Amino acid sequence: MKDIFNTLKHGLHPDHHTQVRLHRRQVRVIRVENGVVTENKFDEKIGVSVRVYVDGAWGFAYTSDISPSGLKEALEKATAGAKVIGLHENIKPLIHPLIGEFFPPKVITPAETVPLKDKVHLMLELDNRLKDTDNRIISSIVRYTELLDEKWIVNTEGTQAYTKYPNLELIAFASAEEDGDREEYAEGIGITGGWDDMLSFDPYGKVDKVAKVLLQNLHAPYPESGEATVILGPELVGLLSHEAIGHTVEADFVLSGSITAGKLGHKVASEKITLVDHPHPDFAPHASGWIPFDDEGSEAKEAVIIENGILKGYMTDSITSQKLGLDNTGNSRAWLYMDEPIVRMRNTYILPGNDTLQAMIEATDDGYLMTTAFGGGQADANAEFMFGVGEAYRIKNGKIAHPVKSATISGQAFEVLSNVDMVGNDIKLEMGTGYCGKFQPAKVDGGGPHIRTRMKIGGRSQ
Amino acid sequence: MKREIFTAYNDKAHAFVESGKLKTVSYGNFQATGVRVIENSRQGFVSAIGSADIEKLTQMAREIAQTSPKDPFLDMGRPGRYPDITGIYDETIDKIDMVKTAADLAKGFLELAQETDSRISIDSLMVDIEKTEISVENTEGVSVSEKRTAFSMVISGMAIEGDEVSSFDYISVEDVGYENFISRVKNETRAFVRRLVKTLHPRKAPSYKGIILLSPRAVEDIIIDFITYHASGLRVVRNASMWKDSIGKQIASSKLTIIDNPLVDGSPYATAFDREGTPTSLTPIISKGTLENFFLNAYASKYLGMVNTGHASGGYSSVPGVAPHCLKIDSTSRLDDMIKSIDRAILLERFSGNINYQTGMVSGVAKNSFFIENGEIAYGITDTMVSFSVLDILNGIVDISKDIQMLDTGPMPYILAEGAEIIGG
Repeated sequence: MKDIFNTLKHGLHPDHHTQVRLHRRQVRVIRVENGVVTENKFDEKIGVSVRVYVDGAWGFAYTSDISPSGLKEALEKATAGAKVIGLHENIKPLIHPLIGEFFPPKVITPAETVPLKDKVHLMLELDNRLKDTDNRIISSIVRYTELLDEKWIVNTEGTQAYTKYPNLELIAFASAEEDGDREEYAEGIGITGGWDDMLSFDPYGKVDKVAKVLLQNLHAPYPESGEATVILGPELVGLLSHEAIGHTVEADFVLSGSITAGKLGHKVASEKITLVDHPHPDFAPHASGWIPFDDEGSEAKEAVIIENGILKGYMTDSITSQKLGLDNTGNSRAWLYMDEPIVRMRNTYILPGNDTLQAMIEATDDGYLMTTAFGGGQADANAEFMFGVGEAYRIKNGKIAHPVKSATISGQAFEVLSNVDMVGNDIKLEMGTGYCGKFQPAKVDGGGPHIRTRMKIGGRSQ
Repeated sequence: MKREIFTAYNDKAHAFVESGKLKTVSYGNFQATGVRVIENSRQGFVSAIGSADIEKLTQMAREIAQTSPKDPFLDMGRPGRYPDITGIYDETIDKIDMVKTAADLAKGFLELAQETDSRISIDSLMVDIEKTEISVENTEGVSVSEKRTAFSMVISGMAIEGDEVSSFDYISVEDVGYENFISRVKNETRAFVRRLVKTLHPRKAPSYKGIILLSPRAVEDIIIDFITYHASGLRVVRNASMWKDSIGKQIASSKLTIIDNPLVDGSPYATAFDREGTPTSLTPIISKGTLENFFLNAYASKYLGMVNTGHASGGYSSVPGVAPHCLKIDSTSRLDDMIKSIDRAILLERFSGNINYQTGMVSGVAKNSFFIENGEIAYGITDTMVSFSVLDILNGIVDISKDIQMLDTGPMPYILAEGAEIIGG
């Protein structure tokens, strides 16, 4: 380990702030479709990047040559790139340096130690279970992805840090047909952790859930279009927190004029809402967005975004923090060694309140309980969003009445959060299979408690 | 044992503008290899970046293959008569400083956008200049390689006037030729800025059921995406296509003809072979509404007993999938004439929503879109939901424009069609 750090120091510039990152990513994928293994592969990428800050501009270079000469060449290229820009801004990067080795908690059985044949066997078993549930299921896919990341980071601020962490994902997808009606649905498990940790999230139960929702949606009615009272489950709360709120409070977007620019200290949500982005939340040790430090080599810290309805902060990196006069929250992340770090989320969620889900349902005369996302969606810089919903139920007179299918929810996220009148006493992160797609992928997680609010529902004429 | 070796080399300069300033310039290169083996009807695949030990990767792939069940339809590409494709490598790239050029272009494009209209706020702008060389060799006699250049730009932003902020929007432009790229970026950036500014002060569209004008982006994101999904030979194999028994059958209006054409010299979509090294060719997909072909690779063609169409997709780190190369839609009318023929309808420029691929139901919000009234684009719209069945739209095509935009899957036209439900004011 010491030898690696000594080698990486060849990439540090004596006069300019420099970050050197060695990243090894190993990926294993097993995909089973209708009982056939269609993908069984292993990929390894290893390389180093050098990032130099000269007079307010970044130069960045990467190479798969991790020898001292390769690093020196990358340093020259990065320095030359920064000088080409010639910004001449006098802003000094703020880094919270750290030294040491950092690992996620509770990895009991590292996935890479489990024999491949056992993994293939489990995926075949899960796929068989899914497609054999009911003869209306006409197509099934089970996909397992194992990411194993190792990063060594040094910078001129004194960081000399190493981390190794696995991300495991298991996704089950199926489609069904009956009397000309067709539906599709998927759910998954996504964690930072080991093989046993993934099994503890009950893959068999997940597959059974996919079949259940798929079949109940086949002949379910569509929801009624219009504004309605909606109880959102943790997955949709996470999606709202990430896509519709989170991106508007990333400091780079704030500096570009996002809707939250200049609104620190303003009331932007119900006082029942506190929203944070955390790199390693204690209550969710397997959160998919787990990181100990960011890809600039700065300590990853909690970013409190909304506290009791008041906008309190943004997610920042070494430079945007200084431009906004804030602390660096360590949100600068890169997907591969060849990607430059940019401001990204980690695990974004709303904190729990005092209401039980049962009390929320009983307090709803006419509305919907919407629990999972499916079918995509988007959010805009002005916090307008539209998400597809997979599992949803009509509530009438304080009771679950029946499932509804193909619902969409839309609105302006801050208005939706301002309309929140009940917040559940539960909390879960349920976006672990998700990837954020801002210029480059990133493993993220998100969630929260159930919340009750009002928003627009998209349905279809019956 | 059958073995396929896919190699890729990439050399890339990148310039990134953020918050209205050139923030980063970067440079890098990599060499990568993917090895696929089929042994005793079992398949394994391994890929790596860096100088590859082919025999070591082969051994790893063989070990993976041993854990996979047998599949008699596994196969590899076969050699054949390769088309002669020219103009996909612009030697200008060897004469320029890629890093400095990327930085200069990014600064210039940013100025161009800001000069076009001061109400534009550019959130990000990226310029990439890259050269790539790929090769495919296998034990069935395939041995091909191709060098290509790519110049690309992505620009995103919003229009701001006073307290009003428009919806965020973006465009991307890619070309193999340097001069052509610059010329296209200039035209398309100006059009992007003007269109975005026009969406300021939007209104709700009136609610109605009837006709809709789909922009090239909406055509690609919804119609072409749906067609590609169900014409995928791999989805036919997996019983996931609603058109699995529809070859030779009418699936759309007789006004719709789509051909896949990867053979146009100098086109960013042109290629002589697919991911497996199979020669490419012209492939009719839909002729006057009738489904003619699926997109096939070696596996799907063997499984279905059909001729391989050369549509294997993917790169050094993926097993072959299927995808179109360049879809060309037959067109008949000028866009101006199509708009003049419309009494009232929305022009769906960008769609934010979901598509149910099983039912064809589309539901979402119109973004950066307009309302057409009495033959003219009248105003930008907001808070307007759109729903329709792709199947209804395919069968309700009224007209297709000769005006096109070069997008990821080919030159896309505007399509005017019946069958939409609009929920606005």
